[in-house]
Amino acid sequence: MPTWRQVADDVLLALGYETDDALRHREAILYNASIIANKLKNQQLKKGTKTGDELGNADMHSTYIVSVIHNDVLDTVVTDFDAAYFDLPAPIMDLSSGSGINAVRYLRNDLPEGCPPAFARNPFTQTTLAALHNIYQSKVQAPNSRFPYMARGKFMDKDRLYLFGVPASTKKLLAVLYTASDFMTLDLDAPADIQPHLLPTLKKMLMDMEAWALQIPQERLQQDGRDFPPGQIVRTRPLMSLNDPAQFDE
Amino acid sequence: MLGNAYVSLGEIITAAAQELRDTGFTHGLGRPFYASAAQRGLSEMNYATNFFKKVFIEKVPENLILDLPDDMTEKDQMYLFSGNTCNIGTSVMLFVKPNMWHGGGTGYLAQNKGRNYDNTQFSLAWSQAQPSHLYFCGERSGKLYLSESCLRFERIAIPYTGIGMDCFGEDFEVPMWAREAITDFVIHRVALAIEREDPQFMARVISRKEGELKGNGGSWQNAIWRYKRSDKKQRYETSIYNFDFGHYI
Repeated sequence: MPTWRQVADDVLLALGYETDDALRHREAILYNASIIANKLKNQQLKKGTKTGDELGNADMHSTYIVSVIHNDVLDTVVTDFDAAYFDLPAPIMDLSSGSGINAVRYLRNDLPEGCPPAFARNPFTQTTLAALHNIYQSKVQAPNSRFPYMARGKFMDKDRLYLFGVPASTKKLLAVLYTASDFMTLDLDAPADIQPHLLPTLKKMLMDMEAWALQIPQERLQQDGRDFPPGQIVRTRPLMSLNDPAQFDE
Repeated sequence: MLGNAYVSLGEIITAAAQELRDTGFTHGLGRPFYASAAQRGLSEMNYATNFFKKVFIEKVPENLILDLPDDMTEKDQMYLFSGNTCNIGTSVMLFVKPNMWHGGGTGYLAQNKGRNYDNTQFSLAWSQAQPSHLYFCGERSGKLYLSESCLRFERIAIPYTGIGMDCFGEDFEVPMWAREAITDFVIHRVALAIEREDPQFMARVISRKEGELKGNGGSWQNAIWRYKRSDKKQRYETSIYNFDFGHYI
């Protein structure tokens, strides 16, 4: 798997910018590459969800051990309904039915031999804060330690998962997430976080974005308010096929 | 036919989720919905076959008003008895008298009324006393209103049909003969609930499962047939009833 630096260099080379006075720089390309990577990963994950082929996307799982906070008095939302929560440790993909959160399980590292592993323990069911009332009306489906629930909500700048039915003794959970690019921590030397078969598409889309970015300053060289000279041809983006990966949303 | 083979709820849910390709329970409803669907399916199967047999035994209350268990769907019979034995000499049948009710004291209200009698009921005339050895009760809002004659006995026993499982809300087991039927029921209910996510695939699943649940030869009819058919012993005994009953063999 190439690093993002290799991807950026490849694009710079293809655009003819091999020297230090290049108009585009690796960091700027990395930003665009991350935007495109998110889109392509989203397409790939949605395809897997649609076709039921979750195995094909298993290499996109990121696993975390998260700490559970019980009824934090600083969180005014939580104190209203006495819920536990944890904050998502990374940005996650925006997928249908909240499947950017692939799984949450109880963590127990000291299970006796022969017991199912922690990942095989009771699955947390994802719901919304608004749906909780309805769920609690059902004796069979109401949250309890066997049927724990989680509901996502923002709290200030935190992306939070509120937990229901979780015993107070629960301190840690396992979380499996489909993570998106974190624009706060982009790293040129990190491996390109995308499946290998998506690299050609990423490169094509990235070249399009970079070529487009390079056109704009050339067309507006006169910065005195007159804009284009009379008769100047305004270049537009090339026509895009309906079959271009950039067009796919589902 | 009574079978002693059961499969766990987990067995049903695992197979259902695999057929729907929802093994991670990531389609929004989660495992609780599967459990609920299985519970509903088992209750429906119980109404169709009365397979979940239970017995309720309680002391005859002094005020003659008895709370019935809250999982009773059908009564098989009602008996009164005393002591620890309930043989033919020490137990009697308890009959249900339509529209009978009382407030816990003596007497009762019922449809038979002295001179404007209802001759579909027992009392033919206002002066006629009830016969001895007649024990009866009214039934209303989950309670039995027992006649005073019932006080001659210590306890009441009611074999009845439950709701398909012991504890509502807990995990339960599914009889082996209903395994495929309940699995298909769960798949059908989940597919209905998540149809909007993938209408093309789910419409096909729903159609297939409706065939299983409603069609002749489908898993639902098969399960009912399996439960209601006689086993070898019952068939053998039926032949004895038919040809030899009442005679020395």
